Amino acid sequence: MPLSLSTYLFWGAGTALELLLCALALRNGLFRRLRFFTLYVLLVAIYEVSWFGAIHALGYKSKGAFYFFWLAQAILLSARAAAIAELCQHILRPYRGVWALAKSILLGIALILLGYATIATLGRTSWITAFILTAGRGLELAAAVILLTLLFISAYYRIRLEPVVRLVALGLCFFSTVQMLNNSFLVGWLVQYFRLMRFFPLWDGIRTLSFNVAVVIWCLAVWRPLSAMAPEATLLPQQIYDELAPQVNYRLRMLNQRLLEMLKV
Amino acid sequence: MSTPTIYVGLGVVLLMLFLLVLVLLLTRERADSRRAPEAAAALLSKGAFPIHCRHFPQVRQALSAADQQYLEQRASASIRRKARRERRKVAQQFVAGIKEDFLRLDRVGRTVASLSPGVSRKLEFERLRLMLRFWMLYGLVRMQLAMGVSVVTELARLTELVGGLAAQTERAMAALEEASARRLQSGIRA
Repeated sequence: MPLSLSTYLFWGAGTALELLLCALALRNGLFRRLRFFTLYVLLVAIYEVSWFGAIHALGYKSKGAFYFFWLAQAILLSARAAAIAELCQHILRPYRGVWALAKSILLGIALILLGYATIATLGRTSWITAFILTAGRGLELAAAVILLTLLFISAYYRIRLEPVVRLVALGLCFFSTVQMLNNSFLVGWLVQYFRLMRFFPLWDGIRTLSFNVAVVIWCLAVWRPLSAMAPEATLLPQQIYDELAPQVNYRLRMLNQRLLEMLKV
Repeated sequence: MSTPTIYVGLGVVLLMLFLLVLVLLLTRERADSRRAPEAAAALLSKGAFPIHCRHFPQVRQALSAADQQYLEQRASASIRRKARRERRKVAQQFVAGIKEDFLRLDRVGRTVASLSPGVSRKLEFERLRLMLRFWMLYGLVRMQLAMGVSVVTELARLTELVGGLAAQTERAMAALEEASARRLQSGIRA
């Protein structure tokens, strides 16, 4: 099936953006800061170019193109998972106490959501596309929740995020959230109730558009050469926390108690 | 409710949270570009915590029953109404000040936690829970004040609680300043 001119333009623009991102990331030394994310960006660019070749060689609706597409999505999703893990470590690791706490929270969330995604996916073994979309939905949900939790933790503890790291995290989070919604609509409503895969181009269009938005965010992140790494935060003696934290909590607890008493007056 | 509906609802919630985080990150970054020990030291030393609780004697005077009685006996109805409005306004502003002190105290707790080599999960979750609870109670107290309920006695007890932490925070501030100085020295050597 020949593709329309608008599809080619859309695709060409997306690929050009991804290549620009790769060039900027390599020129401005993103790989020194975020190795896995840089690898992910490179894989995306390689995929876009090879997907173009694959559908011309195999045909858009061929089985070969189908397997190529979903295999590539699985690889890209794994690379994105690694990039997210790297981001968590990069942001929180210098703050040892918070990192130890956050690691268990983030791992717990990941295990619960991935476990749920596995159960939901195994229940949809009848049709391969629904199976893949359900798995994708679960994984995107896990990615979005983990990234949002990471951003909340860093905002809560007033941890300074470098602009490049902040924009990379926001771009990843935006894409995962939109993809999760996109997969939910397709697998949940359109396919379940209408059994029509003619909505697939719409799903793919939304996926590509949201990814291009994320790529623009990432291009902004690496537009300028990255500044030197900030020196690691100097930690306080443990004794300060051990003495102050229970006192702070006590005062806050009593303050709440008084507010409650005020309400009872 | 069907599973797809739950997922779509969840997606919308996530999208809203994403926007919230975006706003939070952008506004906070502008408000305070320093997050390291320097920022913490500045936070602790700013006006020597607590700020608003110190004005409690004046506020108590302004809201005292004696003043109220005096007005009831001597002032005209319109002046009494005006005075009531003013007193309520003072109380509301003071409670808002208490909130600021609370937030400052909470921020001290968070900053110290972020710069500590180890934190207690129990204490951290408790502080988060207390903060959420405070917001809820604070909203209700504001509502009560708006309805004209007298809370002067309770305000006095509140100020004692917040104010009692001054000694501990001063110690933390000294440690933070020392950490900043060490960092600055190592930066100069590098």
